[in-house]
Amino acid sequence: MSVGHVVLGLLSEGPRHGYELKREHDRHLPGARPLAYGQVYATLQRLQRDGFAEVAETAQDGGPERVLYAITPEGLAELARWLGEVEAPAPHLSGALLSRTVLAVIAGEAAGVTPGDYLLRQRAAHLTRMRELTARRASGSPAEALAADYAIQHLDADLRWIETAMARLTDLKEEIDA
Amino acid sequence: MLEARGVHKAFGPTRALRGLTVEIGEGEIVAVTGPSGSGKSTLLHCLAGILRPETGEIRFDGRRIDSLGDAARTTVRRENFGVVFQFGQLVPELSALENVALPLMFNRHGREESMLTARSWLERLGVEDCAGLRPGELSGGQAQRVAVARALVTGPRVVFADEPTGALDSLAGERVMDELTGTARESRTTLVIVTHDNRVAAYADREIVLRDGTVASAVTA
Repeated sequence: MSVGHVVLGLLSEGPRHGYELKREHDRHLPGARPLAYGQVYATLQRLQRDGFAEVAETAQDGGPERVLYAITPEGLAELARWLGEVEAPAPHLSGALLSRTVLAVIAGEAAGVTPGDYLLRQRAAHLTRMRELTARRASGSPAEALAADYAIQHLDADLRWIETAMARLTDLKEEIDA
Repeated sequence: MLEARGVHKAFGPTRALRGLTVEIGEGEIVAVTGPSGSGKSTLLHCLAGILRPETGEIRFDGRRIDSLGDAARTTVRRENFGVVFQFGQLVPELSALENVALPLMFNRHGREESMLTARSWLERLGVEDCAGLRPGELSGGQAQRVAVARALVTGPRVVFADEPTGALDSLAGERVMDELTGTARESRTTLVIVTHDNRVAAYADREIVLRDGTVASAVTA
């Protein structure tokens, strides 16, 4: 997913100023990293260059120049193409968890770390985060609940992997020691 | 307020609990987790006075309940504990309202008063429209909210929940957990939840992880 596609999506609702795009991005995607103003304008320039967005209106009433941006028919086609695709299913965080676990088995003794203890600590850290998200979901807006659900269910997948990893530690150690 | 000390419990050759010790405070919400066969449900049944351990002690408010006779333990349970099971376990012949009123009538409250209190609990859990329906006519989520109402209707000091969302989809499970933990927090009821679902465990203040019948770790928020 690129910021460009997200901005195109927001522009599909109608022309917007840069600061409106930033505000709407942060409101609709509360789980994502907030968009920096610089990033918004750099993205808009790129979209203009590629013919996906254009300047609809420029106003200057005493203050700084205010530019209203609009999506082009090409931009709408690009948005439709992107929405028609799926995200490549890639294990993100589990890569880091996997490395740590295998390393805890390989180097645990030398480093004074027990792999099982590491996994229990990791489990506690994940569950603490899940607890925060669960509380936030209960008091949040529908958009915040949706973002929290996404994070919670991904953490849950990691937690289930941690449980399986615990059950496999003995086999893994045997293989590594062999 | 509730504690197990050095508890052993076996079923034939299977040693479900092996010298387990846990302590749960007043108003605490605790999740008991662990893989299948780690002793979660056995611990819940021992703490709730349903099962008696072979050795070790179970104390409620400082008083031993494992050494009490069956009738005395039943009284302790009826007066202080509420239980929510995975599949609701409502009485199929009774309406949702009658199911919720039942524990009050067991505790010698009048029928009319019991029905009124039961109705207010169905309203609180958002299932007042189901009052006249039998369990077979309820969705899984509705049945489980009726079961939560039944567990809370007597104002118990402790509620035990055994996989309370095990049979529900995500959203229905979330609704049941929101109601269960929200009500427990409001009324400072102690809640002990057995679950293998991390998303359910995340509602608790503290997690007790069991492994092979003992505590692997206890994690506080």
